[in-house]
Amino acid sequence: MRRSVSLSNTLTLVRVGMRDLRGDKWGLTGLCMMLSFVVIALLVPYFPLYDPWEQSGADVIAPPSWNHPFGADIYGRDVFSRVLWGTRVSLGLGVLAALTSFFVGAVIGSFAGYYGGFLDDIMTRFIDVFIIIPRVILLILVAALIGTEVWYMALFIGLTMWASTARIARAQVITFKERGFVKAAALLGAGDVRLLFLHILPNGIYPAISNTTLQVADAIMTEAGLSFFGLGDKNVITWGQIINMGMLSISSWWLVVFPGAAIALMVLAFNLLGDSLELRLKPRLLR
Amino acid sequence: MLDIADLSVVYRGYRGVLKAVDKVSLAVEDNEVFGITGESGCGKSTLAASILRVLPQSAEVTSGRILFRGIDLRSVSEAEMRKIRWKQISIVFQNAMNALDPVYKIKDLLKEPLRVHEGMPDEETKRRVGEVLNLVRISQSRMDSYPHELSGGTRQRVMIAMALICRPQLVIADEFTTGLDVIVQDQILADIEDLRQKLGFAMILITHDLSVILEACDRVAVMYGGRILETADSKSILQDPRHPYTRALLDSMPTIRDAKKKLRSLSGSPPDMLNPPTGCRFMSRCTFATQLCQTDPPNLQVGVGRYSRCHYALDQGFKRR
Amino acid sequence: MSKLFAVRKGLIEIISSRQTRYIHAVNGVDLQIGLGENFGLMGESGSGKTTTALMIAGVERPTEGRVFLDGVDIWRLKSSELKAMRKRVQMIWQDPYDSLDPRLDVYHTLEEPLIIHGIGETKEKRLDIVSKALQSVDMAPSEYIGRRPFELSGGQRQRVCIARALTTKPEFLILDEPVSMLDMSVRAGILDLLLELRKREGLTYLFISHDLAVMRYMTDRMSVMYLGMIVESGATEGIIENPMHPYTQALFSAVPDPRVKRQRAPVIGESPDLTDLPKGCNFHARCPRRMEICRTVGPRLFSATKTHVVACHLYH
Repeated sequence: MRRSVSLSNTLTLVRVGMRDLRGDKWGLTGLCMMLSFVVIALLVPYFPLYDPWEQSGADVIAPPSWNHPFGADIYGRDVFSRVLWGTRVSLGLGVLAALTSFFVGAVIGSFAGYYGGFLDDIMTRFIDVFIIIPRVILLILVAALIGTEVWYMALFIGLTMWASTARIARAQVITFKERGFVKAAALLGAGDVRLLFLHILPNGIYPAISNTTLQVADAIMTEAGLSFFGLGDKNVITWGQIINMGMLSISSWWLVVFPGAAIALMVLAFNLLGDSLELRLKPRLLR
Repeated sequence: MLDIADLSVVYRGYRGVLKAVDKVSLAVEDNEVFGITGESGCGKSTLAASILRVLPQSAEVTSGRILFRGIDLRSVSEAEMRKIRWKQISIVFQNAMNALDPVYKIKDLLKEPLRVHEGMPDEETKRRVGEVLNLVRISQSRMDSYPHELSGGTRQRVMIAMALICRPQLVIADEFTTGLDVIVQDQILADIEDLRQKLGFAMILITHDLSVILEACDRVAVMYGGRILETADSKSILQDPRHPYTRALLDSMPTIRDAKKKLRSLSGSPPDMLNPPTGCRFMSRCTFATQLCQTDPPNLQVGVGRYSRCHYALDQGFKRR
Repeated sequence: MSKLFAVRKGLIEIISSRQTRYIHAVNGVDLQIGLGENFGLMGESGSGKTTTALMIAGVERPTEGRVFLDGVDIWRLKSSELKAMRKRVQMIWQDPYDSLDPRLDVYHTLEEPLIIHGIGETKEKRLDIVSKALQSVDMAPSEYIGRRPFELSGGQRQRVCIARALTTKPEFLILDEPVSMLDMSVRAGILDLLLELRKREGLTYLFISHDLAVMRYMTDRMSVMYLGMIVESGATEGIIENPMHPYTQALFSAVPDPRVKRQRAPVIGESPDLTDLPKGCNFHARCPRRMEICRTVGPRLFSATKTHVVACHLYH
């Protein structure tokens, strides 16, 4: 019974969100862009492209041409192919990082907000620590200690991002704890778990969701930055990696511009989507 | 003094057009207390806001005239309107906590209308502020307080002071005692009546509390579904209501002074103002409704200055069924 | 004969961190409500009536004093026993627009207490209980069971809240201003429904309101609260006929009524701050009949007649 309630309500939520999206030009744009990236990521193995790892002595640092639309890098590898393949890892990494951030942040923030008191004080300080410490430094440390394998990096990027989600979740839980229907449910005999997971969070989690959407873009940017400094995983193709390679040949603009544009577009897509979600989801279900 | 004829106001939203006020007509004389009563959603607050042209962006006046001393308030320019606002017609809102700017002291809040509307120099404003505080019985020591330091009743008195400081001829009071304790409400109503006698202004009192309206007002208009259903003097409304809705409202009020009586309530809910019904707005909840009520009732004159929008208004009384 | 017995004292809250000041929300209140009684608690905002109700309901912990339900101190119960108690004591809140989870439809809202307490083992049984609950508040199940709160009017929402409270077959219902936020024409319907339900199900009511007229219509016995203390208690009709405490008298005369020519409430000024209560009688600063003793000594409740008690020096 509980599960079916959540399911039907999520579906309503999606339905409602979609309905309004039709009038929201920017949100719709963001959604379309994101879906395009997803499609590319899923279908790229079926595209007729150069093998992204195939090296070619003849094409070393070849500028964009009919043959290589985005040019070739210092190993003669086709940049167009690499950029498209890079979508998979970049997207996957962004989503993994954001999801990690969401779960850690939501759990910590919710508990802090719900139980209040001393526990809340401690957790808030803990959250503040993660806000203050510069993420990049932390990640460089992690890279040094654990290595640069991409999925670990994704996880750890997520583990440095959760603080903002936590603050949002905490504020929402505190607000919703005071709402009449929550107090009424408590008086009916509902326990803490029921109150949190069936009443408070389903109604209050939306700002955290839209924040997380924005964090996908943030994670991709972070990875790009780390790769640029050489801390990325050399065994996979990410846009940051492509740019990193581009550094070795500064005058070859195509090695930077195309992957850079891809990053910018992805970030734009998620920002548009995130902003739109924030507007759409909030007031709809509250009265 | 104020003559509203066939006023209609709508709100345009993504769900459609909401007809908040539908062909409303009323007239307020000099020094009169005119009451507008009705339940939530009947359009009374929209009506008040439209007089002073302080409606929100989504609202639009689609027809009608608002004549104030011969001036058509709908057609004057915004600059002209600003001269009328506050100096000739002012308004007191419900819930002063939300209406008073919390970062200003009381004396500064009160000085503002004088500065803006009368261009008064600073030394003179001080005197006028002191005067008006006296009128509303707030001690001078409160001049330097902030709104949140005052009690609810005192804040409401500050709102009244602000409304009176430019000596308007008409004051609109929109639910201005709702939310206050009954003792404080009583004091404020008594004080404002004294002020009215002393300063000489007319008042439009808007509230959903029927007993307050009938006690404090000379004449009353009962609103429902964006329309005025009955207009009459208070005594007549009380003793001889000529509309089933008025009758129902009177029957739903519990008393403490008379013998205990069984209350009557209305089933159903107010009409959907996005798609108001054709015919009488009140029909779906009226115990006296007949086939005839499917056509829109005309505004029948029942007596001198008495009107009712009911096909059966001229028959005597709507005794309980 | 089993009796509901509530005895409690002050609730104190810390409001300022620099120097601990206390809000004496409820200050030494004793109440007794008998089984099947229809009891009213009257007071304006700041009188402590809602806080008192919350302490009785087991939501707000009293700083001092106890609350007994059938001789059992509810604040000493273990959590499992407390949960069982929640089946017996239910509450209707003031704001019907905030008391329902906006995401749940009427069925799931009413089903929740059943799930929490394990009432009705099968879906069919639960549906049956829910339908009967809706019928008891005059709402046709077929029409309302799938609706969401935003599709309901204020009066309908409140009826759903009442139905929800009834699903666990409670004995004691606390009603905190259940009609204050509803339109006048709808109030009478809800009030009559509540009166009828009480008779039919044999419930005990604690009815809280700031409206003297509603109190008269709804209750048999009542207490008047002012600034956290009870100032007058007795049969409702008795208090209406003969209000003894000056505060009650002021309340009475302040109620507007176009049918009578009334005296204005003879009271000065406004209620004092709850953190800064005066010595002696709480009301003395505003009382038109105060005496010298009222400034220094707080009056105790004492019996004026067999059924009427007052806390005022005038009657000693």
